[in-house]
Order: sequence, then C-alpha cells, then structure tokens
Amino acid sequence: MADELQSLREQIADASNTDPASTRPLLEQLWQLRPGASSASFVNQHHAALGDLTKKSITVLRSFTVEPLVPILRAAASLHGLDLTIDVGGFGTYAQDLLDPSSAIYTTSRPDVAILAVQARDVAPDLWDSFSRLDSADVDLAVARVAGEFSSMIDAFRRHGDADLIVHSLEVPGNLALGVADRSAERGQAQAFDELNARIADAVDRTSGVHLLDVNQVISDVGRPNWHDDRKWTSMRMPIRADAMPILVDAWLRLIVPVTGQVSKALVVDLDNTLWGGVIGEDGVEGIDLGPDAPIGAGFLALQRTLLDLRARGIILAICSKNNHDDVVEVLDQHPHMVVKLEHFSAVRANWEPKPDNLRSIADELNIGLDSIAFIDDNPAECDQVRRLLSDVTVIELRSPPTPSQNPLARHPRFERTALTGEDRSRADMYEQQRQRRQLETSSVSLEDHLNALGTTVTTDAMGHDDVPRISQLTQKTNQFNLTTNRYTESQIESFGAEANATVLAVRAADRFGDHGLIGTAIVRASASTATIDTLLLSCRVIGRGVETAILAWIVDWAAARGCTDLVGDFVPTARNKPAAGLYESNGFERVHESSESSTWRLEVGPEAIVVPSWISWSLEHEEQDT
Amino acid sequence: MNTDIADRVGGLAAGVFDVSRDDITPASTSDDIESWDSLAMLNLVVALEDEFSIEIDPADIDQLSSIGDVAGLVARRVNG
Repeated sequence: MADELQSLREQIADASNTDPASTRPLLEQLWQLRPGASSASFVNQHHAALGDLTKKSITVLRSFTVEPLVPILRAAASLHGLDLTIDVGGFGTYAQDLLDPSSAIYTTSRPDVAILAVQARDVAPDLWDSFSRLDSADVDLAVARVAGEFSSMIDAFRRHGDADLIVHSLEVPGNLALGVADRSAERGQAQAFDELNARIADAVDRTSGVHLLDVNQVISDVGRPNWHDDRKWTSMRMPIRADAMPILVDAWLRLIVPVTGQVSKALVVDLDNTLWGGVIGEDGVEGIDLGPDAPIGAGFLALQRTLLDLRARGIILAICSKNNHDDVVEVLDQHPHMVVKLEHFSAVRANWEPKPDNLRSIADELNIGLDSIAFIDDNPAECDQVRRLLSDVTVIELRSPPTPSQNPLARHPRFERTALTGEDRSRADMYEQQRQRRQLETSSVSLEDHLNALGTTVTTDAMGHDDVPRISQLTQKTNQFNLTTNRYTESQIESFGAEANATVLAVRAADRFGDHGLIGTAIVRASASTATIDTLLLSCRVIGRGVETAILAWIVDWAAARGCTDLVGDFVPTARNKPAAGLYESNGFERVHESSESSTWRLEVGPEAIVVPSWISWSLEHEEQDT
Repeated sequence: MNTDIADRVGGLAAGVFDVSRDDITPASTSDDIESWDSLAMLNLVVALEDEFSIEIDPADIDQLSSIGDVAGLVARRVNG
C-alpha cells in the first residue's frame, strides 16, 4: 500500500502541472485509499485543481479541541464539490455561543451550518464519572438538567438564526459503572444515557433545520478501542484518535452535503461488472456472478439492494450500458438472483453510443440538470470520458468489486437526505405515472383535448407545519418554473409562515394518472394596499397546463380579502427559468419597471382579474393556519 | 531512509503551517514560522501519526523545537 500511495502522490504532483482535469480522480483515489490528516494536507494543497466548488461556511461549537479535524473536513468536502470555510467557536463556550443573540454565529460569521460537538464527559460529568455514587433521584435530575440545556440551546439557535445545526448525540460509556448488571439495574448508566439521547433527539426532531449526528454509530464504525486518544485528551483536551478522525468527518459530511443542497437526484448505473460480475454479452445470463453463494456475486447482490434503498429515498435510477437493449431486458427479467428489475429504472439507454451522449439524453428525459446526476461505472476509460465531457456529473468509479458489507453508494453523501417527504418516497412511482401521461399526450388530438382528458385538479392552501420540509426543498431544487429563484431553509419557511401579513402556499395537484403531491409554492406579503409576490414556483412535472394560473387566482383572492388594490411581483431571469418568463404578461400584468437584473409587474386586484383555464378544477381555500 | 522521513515530515509541515516547501528546513523553529503555535503543532502531530502509522507521546512533543527534532522523533518511532 505504501508504494501505491507514493505512486499516487507522484501522479498527482505531475498531473497538477500537466493535466489538471485528471487531478480530481487521482485525489479521490488517494482519499479512498488512505483518508486522514496526511492525505488531507495533500488534497488541500491541490485545492485549485478541483475546479468550481460551491462555497459554504461551517462553525464548530465545541467542548473539546477540534482543530485537527478542520483540514480533514475541508479536504473531504472539497472532493464532494464543497469549498468550506470552517470556523471554530471558543473552547467550552458553546452554550454562550448558542444562547446569546449577539454572538458571532448570528451576527458576523453567520455560517450556513453550525455543528454542536460536545462530549458526554464534559456536559454530563456526574453521569459519566460518578454514576456509582448517585442515587436514582440524582440520576433523574442530571438527565433532566442536561436534556434541558440541549433544549434551550436548540431553541435559541432556531430563534436567533436561519442556519442549519448538527447536534452530536452523547457517547454511552464503554465501561459501565455496574458492569453487566447495568442493564437490569433499576436505574442503569446506559439507560440514563439512552434516555438523555432520546430527549436530545426529541428536541432535534421538533425543530426545523436541526439534525442529529449519532456519535455512538461513529464509535461503532471505528471500534471503541480506536476512538479515544487518552494521551492527547490529557495533554491537549483533544480526545479523538488520528485514525478515527476521517470517520467522524464522513459522518459530518453525510449531513452537511444534503443540508447545503449538494444532492444527486438521479443515479445512472453501468451494468457489466457494476451490477454483476462479468459481461452479459460474453458470459450470458447464466454466466454472470450474482448470488448469495460466492463473495463476488454476494457483493453485487448487496449493491443492487443499495440501489433499491436509494430509490426508496426518492433517487431516480437509470441504466446506461454498452449492451443490446434486448439482452438487458432479458437478464433483468430472467436471472434468478436479480434484485433490480426493469420497472425500477425510470430511463434505460442500452446501446453502443458514447455514454456522455446517453447521459445527456437521460438528463433531458428526466428533466433534470447534469449537475443532479451521479454515474457509476467500473470502467476507468468510460469514467474518464464522462468526467472530461460532462464535468457537472458526479462520477463514482467502482475501482474494486463491491463486498457484501461495503459499496461506494451505501453512504455516499450525495444520496443522503435529512428528511424524506412523501413526494421523495413515491418519486419513482411518479415517474412511472409521468410516462403514462406522456403516452396520453402523444395520442391526444389537440392540446386542449389532452388537457381536458388529463383532468387536473389543483388544491391551493396556506401551508401546514408538515409542509415546511417539502416547501423548503422546492425552493432549493426548482430552477425552471421559478420567478425569483430565492432559496430558503426550512427555518426561513417556517418563520415566513408565522408572519402576520404574509402567506406561504402549498399547491397540490392531481390528475387522472395519479397524485403529484405538493408541487408548487408561493410566498406573498401584504402591506397597506399592495400585495407582493416574493416567490412563485412550480415543479417541472406540472408545467404547461395552466396550474400557475390557479395559483395566481388564489393570490389575487387573498390580496383582495386583505383590502389590497395592487398585486406586484418581480421576474428575475436566470440561465434556467425561461419557462416562467411569460407568466405575468400572459395573465394581464403590466410591466412597471425593468433593469438588467429583473423586471417588475403589476396587476390591479379585482374579481376575475385572472382567468383560470376550464380544464383545471380548482378551489379557493382560505383557512388561516397558525404554523 | 532517514532523508525520506525528513522529506515527508517537511512536506507535511509545509502543508500544516501553510507555508511553501522551501520555507521548511531541518533548522526551522516556531520562531521562524508565524503560524507554528501549539494548536498547529497538534495538527502536525496528528498528521505525522497518520502518515507514519505511529503514536507520538505528548510528553515527547515538549522536547521538540526544530523540524529536524521532529523528523528525528518520527524516525525513532518508525524504526521501533
């Protein structure tokens, strides 16, 4: 391994001078081989070769020394497309940092994500060190005290700012005071910590934009003897062993990446030697390695199961394989151990065309950007071609066969989601419904016939508390039918909903093929006689049939109920939102202002100011909901 | 063998202290390098433990004043 490492470093040094485009995959390989402080130094030195990264800022609030983790986080994040500025809060001042509204995280530094990293031994020393000297009542008090502290800090964070917060859970001690009798004791030590962690988890769950990092899972991953650094804890209050650091960093990234919106919406898979061992064109259906009885086949079986897990999280699957289409259909249908089936894939490109062309075609068919696509392939030449021609695609090179317990997809940060909405869970089914809709479209006589046959119903209402994650997700991900492209966190959406003279809309649509769910939103504010549209967007799934008109009609009605005479909104053009450019004009708005950056439109509020097309069934619901 | 260790130590130090490789010599001390404080030293120790798969006793760190000293300590740990 030392030779391989040395060789990689030399290649990287060469590449950064001669061929920067090949630096990234080499750095990824280095990180895969030996993640840690020393590789981090290397990766950070070659930061410039990684191309365009998204800038985000992090602050770590802590009860212990975390500085050695910072360069490791920075390096690992850069390999996932993030350029992180990482600040560290004062040693042990984490409570003040969170409780004080004038503290830096709310005023000057204002990070996108804060991490609250405190140790059980620091925040609950009595439960950690002195458990055997406590009686039941003392334990109850201690648990309540610490749970209360976390609650206060989390509530304060939400009240004073809009960012996301990652909270470390507390380590359950390895050496329990009562030993094996702890479990059956009336008030055991492990039980006390489990209860404390459950209460911390409750505070996390009931607060939007706050996420739990399970420290005990990290310790389990590294193995307890490999976690705590006794010597550095004693001398410098730095408790984590060097080898354990990249595993903790990985756990941080699996939250930071989805929270900052760096997600992949679709995974395109190669087939031969990626989903099974061997090549169907040569080995035939019977000859490929896939099944529980041998290590190679069992590893591919596990990877296929991971694919279905990803699909259940709302990630769309597609195939891009150099094979005959019929052979692919046959093997997916016939192989006795095949876990994935044709119906699990929303797009299939099995042909002899170059993969970059197929990936572009898949992106078009799924109606998503290339930067939302991840691609996995075992073939280095295919991976290289995609990297060079489609630099926005996330390329996952399968450098060695998957094993039953590990594959590069299972914990990949781009496939993580911090909360799954109903829409996520049923997304793949929705794509199937979409395919059926498209079939109807091609068989309809006229557009109007088609739209009538679709039978679209639109329900617009002020949002409820449960709608917040989905609405925030829509503002983060919708690019095409989006008038102003304002991106909002869950916390911001919640606070808009609570404003007295504002409304956040939840727009739901369904048609004859199925329910689309919550597919649009608008944010409107009323002041004196003018209502202003801050945001109006629609998922690309329902563009082109007038749903947006129903939304405008609802807004006009809302504004009129508040005594507004005017409805005003901006259109901010971007590279992607041409589909929304004509919305105001085609609904009777007048352009009152124009600059190079935006145009402002105005409509006089009145009954029937907006005409909703006859093929949409819609209703005005005006429940004033306290969110 | 020891020049290889000295070289790798120097390379890591340059990365950790965020200076150019040429600014690091065996004679370099914390007086020469502005960003070399106790936290930066801790970061270097962690990087060295990772690079050489060794454990460095914090007690030994207090004895180190130059990069050459650091490389010497690493060599002793590596060679057992």
